Amino acid sequence: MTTTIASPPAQQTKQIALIGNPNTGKTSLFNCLTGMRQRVGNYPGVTVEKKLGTVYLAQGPATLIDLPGAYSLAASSLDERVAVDVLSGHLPGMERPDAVVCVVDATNLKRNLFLAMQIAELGIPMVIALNLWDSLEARGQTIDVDELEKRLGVPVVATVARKSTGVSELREAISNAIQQERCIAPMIWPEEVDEAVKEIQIAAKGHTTVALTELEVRRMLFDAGSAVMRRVESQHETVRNAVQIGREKLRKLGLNPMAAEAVLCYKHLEKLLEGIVKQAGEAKGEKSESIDKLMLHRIGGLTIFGVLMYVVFQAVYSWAGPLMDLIDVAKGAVQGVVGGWLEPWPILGSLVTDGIIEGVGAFVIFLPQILILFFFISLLEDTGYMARAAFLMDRLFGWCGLNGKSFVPMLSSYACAIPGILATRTIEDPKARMVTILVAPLMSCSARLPVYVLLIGAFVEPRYGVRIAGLALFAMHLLGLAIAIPAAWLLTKYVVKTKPQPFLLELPPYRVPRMQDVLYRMWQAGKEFIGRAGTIILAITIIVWALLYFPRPVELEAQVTEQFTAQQIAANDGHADLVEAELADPDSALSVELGNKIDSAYTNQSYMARIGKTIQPVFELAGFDWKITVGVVASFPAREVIISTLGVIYSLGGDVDEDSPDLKTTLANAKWPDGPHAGQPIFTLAVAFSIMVFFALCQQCGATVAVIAKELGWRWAMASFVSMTAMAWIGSVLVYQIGTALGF
Amino acid sequence: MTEVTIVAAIVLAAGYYLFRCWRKSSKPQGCGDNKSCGCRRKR
Repeated sequence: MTTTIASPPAQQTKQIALIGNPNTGKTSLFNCLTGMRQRVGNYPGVTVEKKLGTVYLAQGPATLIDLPGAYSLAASSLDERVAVDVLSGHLPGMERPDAVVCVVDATNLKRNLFLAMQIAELGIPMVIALNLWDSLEARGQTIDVDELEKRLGVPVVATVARKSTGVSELREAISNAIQQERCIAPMIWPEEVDEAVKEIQIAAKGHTTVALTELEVRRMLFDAGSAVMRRVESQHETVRNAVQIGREKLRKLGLNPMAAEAVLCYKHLEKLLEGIVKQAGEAKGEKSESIDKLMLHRIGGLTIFGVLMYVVFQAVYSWAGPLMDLIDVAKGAVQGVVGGWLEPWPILGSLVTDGIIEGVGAFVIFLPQILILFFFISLLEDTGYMARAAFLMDRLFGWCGLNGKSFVPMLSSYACAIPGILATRTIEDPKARMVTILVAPLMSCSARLPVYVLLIGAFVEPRYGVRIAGLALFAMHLLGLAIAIPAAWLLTKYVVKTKPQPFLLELPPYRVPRMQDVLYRMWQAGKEFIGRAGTIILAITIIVWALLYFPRPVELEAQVTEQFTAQQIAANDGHADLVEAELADPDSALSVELGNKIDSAYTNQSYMARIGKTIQPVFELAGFDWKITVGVVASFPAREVIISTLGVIYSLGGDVDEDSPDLKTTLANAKWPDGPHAGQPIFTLAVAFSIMVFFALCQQCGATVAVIAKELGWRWAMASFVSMTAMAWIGSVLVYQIGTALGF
Repeated sequence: MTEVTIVAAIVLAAGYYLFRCWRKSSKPQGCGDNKSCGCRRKR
């Protein structure tokens, strides 16, 4: 949960950084140490997410900073740059941490300690958390923790974050590390490296915004295109020359400058770890490897992936029914009670019942689907299956100029495009990153889910049953990917012109997910969803209601009543007394019909109707009436707004009665009032799919446009918005025209 | 009159909220750390 914990005064709060390779259980350990109380924000100036929590140590509460997962401090990607800046205390507004907890995969000690050795050069007190200890034991291996602690010179604690094992020991070790200031002895570099570092430091003096640490200078020496170079004013020539001279020295030593650090460090670690990892028992077979033989099979793997995705969307569609009914009943009950209270105030009553409760309620009803979707997403991620999916997709993505690395952000975009776009920061090739950002919003985010469920539930399920409805939901989620791949191909071939880069991926072992983490993820997604219902959805609903309710000319009611009465008298062979008697009873069918006619007349001349009718010709070819047009236009800031907007439109328009208890039924019963289609249903199957295709392809999310603008600039953000909107319009027109021609 | 005033105040507050939200999201830093406007969705 995200809380606003009051921080103690800055000078008393110790800052602890948590760092580690990806897939080492860093997030689980962070959750264990902080008790899942987190504050999420951004690092200043960059869009890398900053996660803070409070850990209680012997000295009192301390701030735990969860740094982005990194294999090294090479600082070639945005994530790694932030990690280097935080650790060296060069990030504006952030102090250098008082201690570092380096999370190490116990099954892969040497490679994981490479990062620890790099951090050691900063001289920050460190604790090593040997996580995934259970996986090590499952392999029949053990680590001599005491000996490792002695050789490294810092506390080493064995942990199993998934089971919260070793967490209190880790907390104690952090307290001790801060008190005793125990640091890993940095490795001894060859004289040539030290000389080169000193020369670069001298050359950089006066040309940098802040004095560079030895670690940062070493990064400039070892890394091609290191981000640290950006600290040097206009990449000053003297500094560039000093770096080149330093690299020449390494070449003379017989070392490739780009690989020198790894070669020297691994040699050092090999010596340091001699005899540390022991075979304690019988080595058990590598389960993960045998599962992967099937999961990563060219045909079998893709089939399993397809089946899994189908099962997920089928479950999302069919499991939520009872809970949705429950929310709907609750909504109706609240409407009844509140409507009764506000009866003496008709305008306020309409705002609260037809506007707020109807609009927000129509949106909140989809909470169960969101929870089920996130249950599966976190289950697939925590088991380690997502990495396999990225591997499977590498071939497909290679065809369109990207690689499997782009699949991870795209898969994240199925939850929400914003974290998906932020996840592209791990892609080193800036052009591939740009293309991934531009196609990520095409993935069907969870905000599209309510739109699909509403329309599929109203028009596909009644005709073809639950199974086909689930399949339709799956197909709508595939549509974005099916468009994204050729779009990426066009972009990489003709616009940004890049070639696929080699894809290196670490496949984490399969693990049983921790139910606590899965539930936590669901809770966060649910809270976010409800939060939106109470903020942006509520605000837009109120505005939509006002535009639909006003103007309210008094004479309109009299006109409609007069016209309606005259029609009824004519239909009853001139028996005015009979008609008047029936109209005098407010519960009679005739009175209800008149009430609906008055509501409909008011809605039809409202400001919103005028706007909708003006824009409607643009969407006529896609089969939209003015009400759908209003829903679509109102959804440009956030696409899920269409649900609440349609809820308010149909509630105020007098279309909701006892035969249409929910929005689904109301939409299914809606008919064209006049024009060439008068009396025919507005929502046919072709219209329903036309709307869904529009929502699948359109860039209706103000927050996503803003994030793209932050990442790539406003020019690209606008290009993305215009092209996606155009694509959505063309797609929906095609679907409607073809669908109608085929008789749907 | 009181009823109309209350409704007008609610509608104006909603409009102001959306305007503030738009202003925040169009700034270079976007919503940044301040998510109170609900613009910024996180995973």
